[in-house]
Amino acid sequence: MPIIFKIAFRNIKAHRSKSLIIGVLLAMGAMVLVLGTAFINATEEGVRSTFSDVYTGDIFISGISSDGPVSLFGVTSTSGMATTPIIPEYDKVISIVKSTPHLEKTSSLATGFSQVIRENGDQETEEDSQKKIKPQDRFLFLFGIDAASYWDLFETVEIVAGEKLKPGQSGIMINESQFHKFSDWFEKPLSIGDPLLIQGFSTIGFRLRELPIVGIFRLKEQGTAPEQLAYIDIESLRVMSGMTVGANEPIQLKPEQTSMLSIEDPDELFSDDIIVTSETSKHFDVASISRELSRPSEIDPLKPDEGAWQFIVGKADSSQNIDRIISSLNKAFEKEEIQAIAGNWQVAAGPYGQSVDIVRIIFAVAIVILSIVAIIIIMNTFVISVIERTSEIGTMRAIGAGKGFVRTMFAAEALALALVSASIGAGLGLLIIEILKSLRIEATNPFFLVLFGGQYLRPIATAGNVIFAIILMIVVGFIAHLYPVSLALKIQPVRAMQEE
Amino acid sequence: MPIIQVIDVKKDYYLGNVVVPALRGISFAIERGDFVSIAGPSGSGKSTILNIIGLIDIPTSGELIINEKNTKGLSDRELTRFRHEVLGFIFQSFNLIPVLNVYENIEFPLLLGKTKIPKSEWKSWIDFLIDEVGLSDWRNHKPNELSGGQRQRVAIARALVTKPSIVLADEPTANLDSTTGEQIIDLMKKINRELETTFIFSTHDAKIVNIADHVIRLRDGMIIGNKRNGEDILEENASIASAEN
Repeated sequence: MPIIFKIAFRNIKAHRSKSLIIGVLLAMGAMVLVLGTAFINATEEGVRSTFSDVYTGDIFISGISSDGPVSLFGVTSTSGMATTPIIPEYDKVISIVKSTPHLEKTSSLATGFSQVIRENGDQETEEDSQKKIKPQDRFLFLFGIDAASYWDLFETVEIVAGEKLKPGQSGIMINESQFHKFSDWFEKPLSIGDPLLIQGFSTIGFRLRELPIVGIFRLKEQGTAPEQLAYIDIESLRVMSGMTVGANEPIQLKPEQTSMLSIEDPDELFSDDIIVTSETSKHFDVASISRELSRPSEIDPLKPDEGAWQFIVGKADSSQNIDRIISSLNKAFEKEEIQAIAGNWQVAAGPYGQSVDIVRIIFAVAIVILSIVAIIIIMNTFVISVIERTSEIGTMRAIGAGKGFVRTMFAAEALALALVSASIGAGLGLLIIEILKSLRIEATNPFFLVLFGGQYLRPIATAGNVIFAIILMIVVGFIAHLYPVSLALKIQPVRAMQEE
Repeated sequence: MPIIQVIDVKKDYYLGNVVVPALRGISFAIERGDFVSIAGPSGSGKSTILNIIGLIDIPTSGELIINEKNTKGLSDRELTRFRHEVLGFIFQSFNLIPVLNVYENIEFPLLLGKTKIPKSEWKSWIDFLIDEVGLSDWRNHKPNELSGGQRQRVAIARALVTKPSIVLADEPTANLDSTTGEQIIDLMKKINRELETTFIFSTHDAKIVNIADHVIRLRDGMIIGNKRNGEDILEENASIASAEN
């Protein structure tokens, strides 16, 4: 064995207490890294599969908005509410999707925000506040689906009462907890078939629709989908969101409407010819208005645009092909000059999908802070060790060892110690992971469901994580030894030999 | 040509703003194969001149010529190489590497760079030195398992392993009892005779001083006596400085 390694290993053994301090720190660092990355892997995988299995799919296609990134929850815009774009050239996009390999199942959908309202208007009564029904409890996040393909793609919806929406059927499916809240609010038990008056929000205004409850559901995987999620037929959603035929057609004005535009004298804008009066009604009957509004053919002379879809979601045949599929789709869109874009589940989930990134960022920051602390502690320990061996260093220099030899010798010590300690630490981390898995620690609330990535805590350690942990600790150990050695080498051999 | 020429060497140390002259301009020459003692009381400059000759300290002024090479202006790397090739060191506190055994400590200088000895001859040469210093039964022992005298023998063998032209020993018997100290000096003298290696050692022990052929006496950083084989060469060496100047 080369003399440098011989001296390095023997010095590690000879200076046991310092080697132990440094070794324990590095081992703990490696253990924390292996455990931490395993937890993050589990959370990531759990969140990914939960989102992906419940409502985002693996692949997400949308139109492109200049106002911000598009997700299932709309456009994330800093300037206020922006219209979610419709997928342009939908038939071409579908053709590209169907010809993309590894993309198994797809379904098209659109989303929108709405609230449930009562026939007596929306004024909050004293009883409402006593029942603690908040206005936000009446909000619904609508998924307008193509029932023919959607249920094939997402099998995580469990029907509690009624049935799933069928193709061509008009109606709404609501969450079990929302159902109980509405029953409470309506002061009568709701049942399948009862109508709900839904007020849809869009950038072009409000639209009302009365829809029968066709099903009450719960999600098999809780915690990732908003509680307000409700499924409706795509036709109803298109109407409520203003996705109607002719919405982009030019407006035809009558002559008396355009005459105002030809006025040259501004004072004529205030003449009696311009000002129009009309009779106002003293009686305002919401119930009759509601009845009127529930007849869509009378509300909307414009028909829903049957080609208007905001999103296409899909599942890959394997998680390893997801990136490849997304890349292939985007290349095809670019080639055909289609203003559409493909992304993964995180893009689809929008702000909800950022929870994983937040966990990752917090962990990374913690690791950086811990590494700095470890470097400082290890560096101080190395300084003590080097000072104690200043005479030895001086002797070596005196009898012909260059600065490079001394530097290499201490580097070998630091690296050997780091490698052994980090390997032990990583091994301990793996052992703890196996123990945790065998304990089957159960998630007790939705937060832990997300954190655990499922019902039970199952950290996932990969070879890459273990190697990363060991390499990082080796780097920490190496960096920590640099300064103390450079200090020792600055001392002249004669002064070094005088140090006792 | 002398193997070492010290020409008007001065060395000042600074204690804050106070200048302490350790050497006040000394000049002498040492011939190849000499067994030299540098004698003087504490603070006379013995260790200082030895460190300067050993190229582990730099004079404030003056010149040092070793093996006909002027050492002034050499870089740290060149000085290190020079030390490795030409010089051997024996220290007062032995300064062995604690984690290496006797054999490995002696072998250590050979591993630091090119030497005159071919690698195939290393083992036999080290074995010879171990026998020469009388430590054949201790070759696998670590320094902490040896007595002071044994450690100094290891240091002597280590100093000789690269077959240096010059061996420097700074108070080699200071940490040993008188009997052991005499044995060490006898050993050094024996090697000096057999290998014709120039030995220069510093000491304040009068008994040991006179064993040397060439004695240089220092006091307060100046040479007060310089005798070689009984002959006074103080004036002769002093003229080296004036000739060079």
